[in-house]
Amino acid sequence: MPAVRTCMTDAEPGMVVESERGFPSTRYDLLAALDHIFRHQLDYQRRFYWPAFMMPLYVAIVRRLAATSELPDKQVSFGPVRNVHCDVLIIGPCGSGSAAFEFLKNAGLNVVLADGARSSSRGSSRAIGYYEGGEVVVLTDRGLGLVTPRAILLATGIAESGLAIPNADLPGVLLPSALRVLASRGVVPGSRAVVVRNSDLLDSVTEDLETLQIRLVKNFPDPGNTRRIIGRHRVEAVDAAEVLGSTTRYGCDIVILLGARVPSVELAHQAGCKLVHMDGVWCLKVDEDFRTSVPSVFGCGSVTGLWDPKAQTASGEGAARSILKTLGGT
Amino acid sequence: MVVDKKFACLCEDVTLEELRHAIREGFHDIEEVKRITGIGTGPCQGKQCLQSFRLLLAEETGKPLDEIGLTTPRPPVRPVAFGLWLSNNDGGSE
Repeated sequence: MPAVRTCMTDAEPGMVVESERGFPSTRYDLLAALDHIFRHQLDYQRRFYWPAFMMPLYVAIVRRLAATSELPDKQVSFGPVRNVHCDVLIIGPCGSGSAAFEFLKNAGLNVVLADGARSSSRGSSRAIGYYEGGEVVVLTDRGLGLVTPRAILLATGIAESGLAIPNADLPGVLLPSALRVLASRGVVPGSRAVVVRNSDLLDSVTEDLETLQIRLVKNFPDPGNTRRIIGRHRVEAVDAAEVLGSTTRYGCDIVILLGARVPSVELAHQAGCKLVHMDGVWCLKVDEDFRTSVPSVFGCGSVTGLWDPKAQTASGEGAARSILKTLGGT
Repeated sequence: MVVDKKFACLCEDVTLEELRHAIREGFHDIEEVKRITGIGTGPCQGKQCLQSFRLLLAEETGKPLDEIGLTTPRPPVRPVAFGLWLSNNDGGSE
């Protein structure tokens, strides 16, 4: 995807991954000179609107500079939208959703799981929008599906967030889930890691580093102590501030950023559910029966602000019981 | 030497400096800052950057964090190929 630093394609073993090209190439990018000329950012929104008669030229040139890469052009065919009616639609990758799925399935209900995870038997399915009347659009390998459920359970979980440290866009900077995916596929991204965090989720990262035999060089519990990430084409070191204003350099080839855990409340927000502010983030508000403020929409797991895995599973089962009661099951 | 940049939004290349600049220009509402800088409008739709954006907004405006709301998450919450929206809605029911 040109002009952005992220892409949506999963990296798989054997795939060749290349970054976008600059001008005339990524390796010899003449446009990098602009970084030296405009040391405090090139503010193209304000710099290129005067004199007015030059505007068409600015638009023609500046917009082109912003995206000089090309996208592969291919013909893709899309299947028709499928309509799905079910008793319960469970949305989200949170473990509490799987617990609720098992419970409701065993109770004999027609349950659809849109969990965002890819499995060899079911492919992938992801809820992408909540629409009026309680209809949810789901993206699957075969195209779009329009799901009309009698009840919805939101177990949308949390999203990882990064930390705004200078040069955190260098290759070799990872979030914990990326490390987990690489560990599960046996890909070793480096040999020496520095962890920078402002959350307490260190256990799973330490476990993954041990599995991949990556040495933990330094763990910064406060991101404020890290000055910058050093590297030209990829991560080479991290500079840290010391007490007397001096800087210590820690050589490494991976930096793992553990930012805040942010509940994925997008679909809840679209459904009009009330949110509550807890621990610095917005969470889905549910009552003791796991009901949200919107009828027939329930919530469970980490999206409701539960951080403990056992409590999350228990909330999944509790929500499933509540749904069963509401739909008139036994 | 390459100039250090602190990216708040990696998808849309928005730096902390650009956000501060917009807030100091008088844009204090989370939606306003989103619209002027483009933060949170890329492929991840704000999943990675929203929290650091909210923290910065609280710091710069002096408002408590619970008064800083969220940007409006319109469907689709994940990127979808344009062609899919052209699919016919006659795929039958299951």
